[in-house]
Amino acid sequence: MKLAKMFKLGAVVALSAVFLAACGSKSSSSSSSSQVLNWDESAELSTMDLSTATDVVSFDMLNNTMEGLYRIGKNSKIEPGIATKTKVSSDGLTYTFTLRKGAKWSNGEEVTAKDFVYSWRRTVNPKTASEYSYLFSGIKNADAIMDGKQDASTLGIKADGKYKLVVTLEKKIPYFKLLMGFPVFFPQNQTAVEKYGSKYGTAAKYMVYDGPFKLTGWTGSNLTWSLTKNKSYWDAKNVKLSKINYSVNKSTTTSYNLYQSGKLDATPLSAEQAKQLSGKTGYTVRHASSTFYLQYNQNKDAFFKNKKIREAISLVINRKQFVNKVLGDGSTAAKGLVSPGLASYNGKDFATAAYTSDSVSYNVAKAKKLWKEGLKELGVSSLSFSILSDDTDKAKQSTEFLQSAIESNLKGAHVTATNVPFKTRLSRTTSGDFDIVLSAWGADFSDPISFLELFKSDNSYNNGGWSNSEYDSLIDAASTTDAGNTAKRWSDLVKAEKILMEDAGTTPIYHQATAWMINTKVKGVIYNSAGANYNFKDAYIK
Amino acid sequence: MEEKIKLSPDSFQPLPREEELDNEKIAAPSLTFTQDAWRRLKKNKGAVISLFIIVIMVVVAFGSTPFIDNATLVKSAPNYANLPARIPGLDFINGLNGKLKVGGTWVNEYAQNGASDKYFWFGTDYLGRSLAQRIIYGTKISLIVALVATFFDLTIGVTYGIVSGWKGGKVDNVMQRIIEIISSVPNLVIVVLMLLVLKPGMTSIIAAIAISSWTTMARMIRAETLQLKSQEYVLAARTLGESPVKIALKHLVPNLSSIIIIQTMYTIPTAIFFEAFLSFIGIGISAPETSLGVLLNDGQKNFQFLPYQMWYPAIVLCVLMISFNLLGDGLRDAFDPKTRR
Amino acid sequence: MRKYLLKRILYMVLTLFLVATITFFLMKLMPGTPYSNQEKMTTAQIKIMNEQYGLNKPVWEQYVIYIFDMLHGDLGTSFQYSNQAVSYLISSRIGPSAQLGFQAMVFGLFFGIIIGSVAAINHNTWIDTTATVVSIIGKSVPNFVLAVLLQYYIALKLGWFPIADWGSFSYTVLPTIALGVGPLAETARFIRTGMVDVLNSDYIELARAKGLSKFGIVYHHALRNSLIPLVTLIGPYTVALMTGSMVIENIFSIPGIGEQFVKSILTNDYPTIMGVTMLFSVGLVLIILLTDIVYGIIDPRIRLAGNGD
Repeated sequence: MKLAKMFKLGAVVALSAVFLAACGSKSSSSSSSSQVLNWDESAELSTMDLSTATDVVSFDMLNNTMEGLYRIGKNSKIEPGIATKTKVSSDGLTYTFTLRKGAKWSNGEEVTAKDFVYSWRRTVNPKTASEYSYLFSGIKNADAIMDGKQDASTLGIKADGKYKLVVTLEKKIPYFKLLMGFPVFFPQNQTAVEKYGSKYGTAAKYMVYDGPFKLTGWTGSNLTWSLTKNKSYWDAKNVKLSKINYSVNKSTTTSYNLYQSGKLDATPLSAEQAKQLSGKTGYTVRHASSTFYLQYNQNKDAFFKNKKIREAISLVINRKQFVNKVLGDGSTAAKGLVSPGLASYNGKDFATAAYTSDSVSYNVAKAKKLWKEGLKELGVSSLSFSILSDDTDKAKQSTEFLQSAIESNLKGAHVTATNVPFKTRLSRTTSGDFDIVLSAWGADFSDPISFLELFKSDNSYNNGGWSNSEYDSLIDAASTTDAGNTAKRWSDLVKAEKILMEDAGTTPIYHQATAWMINTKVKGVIYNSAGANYNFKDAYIK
Repeated sequence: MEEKIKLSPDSFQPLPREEELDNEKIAAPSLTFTQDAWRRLKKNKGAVISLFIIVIMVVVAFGSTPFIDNATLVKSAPNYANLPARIPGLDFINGLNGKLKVGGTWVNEYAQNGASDKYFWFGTDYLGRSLAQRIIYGTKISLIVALVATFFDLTIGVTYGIVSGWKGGKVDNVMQRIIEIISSVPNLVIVVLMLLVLKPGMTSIIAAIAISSWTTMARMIRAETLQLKSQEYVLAARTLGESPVKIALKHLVPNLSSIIIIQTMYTIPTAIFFEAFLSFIGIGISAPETSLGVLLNDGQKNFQFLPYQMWYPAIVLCVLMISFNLLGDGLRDAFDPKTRR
Repeated sequence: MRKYLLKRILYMVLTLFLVATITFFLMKLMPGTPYSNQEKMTTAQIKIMNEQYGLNKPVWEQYVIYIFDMLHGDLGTSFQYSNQAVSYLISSRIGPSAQLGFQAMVFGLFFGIIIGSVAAINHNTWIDTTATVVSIIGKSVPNFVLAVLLQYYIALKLGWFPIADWGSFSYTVLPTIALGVGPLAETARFIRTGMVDVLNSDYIELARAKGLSKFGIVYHHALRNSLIPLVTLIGPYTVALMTGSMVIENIFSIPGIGEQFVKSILTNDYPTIMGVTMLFSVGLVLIILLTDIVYGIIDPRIRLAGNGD
């Protein structure tokens, strides 16, 4: 899944925005000669056990302290990790990886093929209770193992000697190599896992590393920790940073103060800070492949079955004004459900190909007309409903803006803004306890279907009950009959999005971005918008 | 020879009726307890000014109801977002003339945003809504919350405290345990759970206050009652067979008034902050309504760039608090029999 | 006295038991699951996870197990931090919070008493008015606003203290002030009112008549008597400091328990919520017991009533 918090990873990388910290030469007080980076984190590190990790901080730390078959570089480019050579069978179902000799764990043992086998079996074993094991789906027997029907040892992975790893798939996974750069697929050292038992991964000392950095100073619950250069890393000579100090600051006011005083080299910004600081040296926008959209609960409120009502709501939202004047952090006005830059065909971006301008434009006159007609068809003079969303600042601003846009333009609309904690919002959405919900989705992989699947009649995220049989059959065709025909599949998906947008089945609002201030001396930081966000292997301080 | 002085009845003259009365009469007009308190309150300048300010605030806040309603609050104009204060005629004072200090220099934000013909006395918020309107509305909500909390303090809190202290023994024990339990479950837990049952808004705030706000008052009153119970005048009243209710009203309450008033003055800011805290976690006042606490909380986040968004609500809140406290002091001096000298 | 104490402790245990019970069942009503990725997990996985956390059993059974484990000092494992014992989480986080709370209390009481006494002795003079207005402002400014101001002006602009984080004593100064100003203002107001009352009473007149020094009067008679109502306030102060710490720890990035508590509630980390709730309750109940005892010691009139209880 991948609701809400866009940070919340996803398997593979969509088209990723990579931001090498902007150029410029404004000086800052942090010393330049020592290769020490001070980075802000907005949440605690909750575990270092890659089988049970679920949050963005854990995945970022794992990505920098561990090494898998591949390492994801700039623009989601696949770079060599433990694997030096990869052979794919002609049917695309068997991968044979040749592993690097001399890669070492921090306890001195060598990283071998059996570490991968052990790690993967451990993750898919339902007893391990890995919440991200669904990513293994497609690898031979993975689904059956996770269902508890087969033993973990039947998983389609085996070690052929110390340096050869063979993986067998059930079906083709076009993004399989990208997956291998995601921490859930990294190796684990059996000696360490068994030695530390239930303490494994709960503190820096209960862990072994094979990546560019080692974790130090993490007690399992504290707010500061460091990544220290790992001298036994196979490519240690190319790791330039000697240390990355992390500190958790939940208030962006605090972290920005720390940035100003030179105690931090990077800090995320709140909407207001972003508006005030945009254009300053160090101001950086990180885009995410994500969309915030409204879902109408047609099951609970019959009036949302009326297309005119839904259209009217969509047309009173001035998306440009919203992203520029209210959010102001680099987020962009929604063009459709699928975020721009996610996928392209013949040089045309999907979001452009499927763009249905009438559905996401701002047209108050038309909206008023549709609203009036809609009310007439329903035989009522007013409608009351609430907009459910998270209780973050951004979510509150969004609901307040929507409320204002709807109530002041559509006569007879009474809107309540309901802002609740993330988990409460989730459970309310799932149980259908909402009128309109502001949902968010981030791409799991760089394919429009990652978004379009959401509105299939039987999808567990389609909580509003919008359904269209033509849409369903197009989506089905794209993943079955037309799966091999790129052109046909593309046109299926474009058509599907157009159906969804023309019927106003959902109202996309904006594509998210986060604004940061980053010290201009920091270079070479690799940021990918999906998967593990940060890769510091090549980072350095000028 | 002895001379007899003969006094005839004629030598005596009856005094006129009025004069006889005059002798006994107390020069000052007879005053009831309240009249006396009022008289003494009037002598306290600070209290009178405070009372005046509070009355004005109440009148403005509640008088605004026909003008500032849901429709006004919900209207936004993001093009005019985050404009600083601009008051006609004060063009020469930076900060009140539409200029904002950006990176060390004063910039005319109104000209930059194409709002040269607009005047927002307190500036605007992030959606371009008038901050003045929002502060007035916020004051109203905060006053209502304060009133509600005071009400529960005075009814539940005082009664509970007196009963518990007066009865003593087993009753007291049970009642104290109940308070302990109520105050031991963190407010936050209670409040999050209330999300399940109640819709965000005034009802849930009132419910949350009703559950937890009065315990401190009850505890204080109980402690004082324990003390007063053994005072001579209470014992005397008891011996004379006064009913407990009468004793409570006639002897305990006036002597507790000092504590009651101070504690109430403590409840008011606590309630206002509690409301802000609730709004902060999502079950307080919901948009587009607002309160001083919400405005302060929003303002504090942008303090470095838009200081006025924090200072204006903060000033209003401070003035309100100071007035309540000075008035409270005055009332205490006026009502407390101990200070009647 | 001993009998009274024993009785009180017995009641305390009963209170805590009830708090645990109520919190436990309230928690079960909370919406959502502790898993962050439930939609993507197979039913087999969810079943196994529920078994691991004991969530598959009927609620009453979970309750019995919870109480039993708690009596043995086991508060369960956190959902948010996988495999981390709640008791470890609490013990590693309690230090900063306790230190901060204690410092704020001492700071608030000490300066509050001084300011209050000075105001009372100089009753109805400009000193009194200034002290009153200052303490009202202290009470009127929410601590999150004060924290932001201190952080910006004192730490960032003047550079006198660190901006955030936790370490040596200098890191604790600003958070202590931000947290302690509320109690300070409160204390000052109470001491002032109490002392004005006491200074007007007959036994002070007598003490004056006996020729006791001004300091002697204030210290021996007035202060001691005005401290009585203050003692009952320490309980509420503790609660205020606990709630306040959630905000202050957040702003100053302090690894404390209050900050953790908010996070636990937002992530449905039931065992941690329960654990911290119990910790807060134990703290509060102990403090109430202590203040009651102290109350008996400093106010001779209560002692008898207390014993008779």
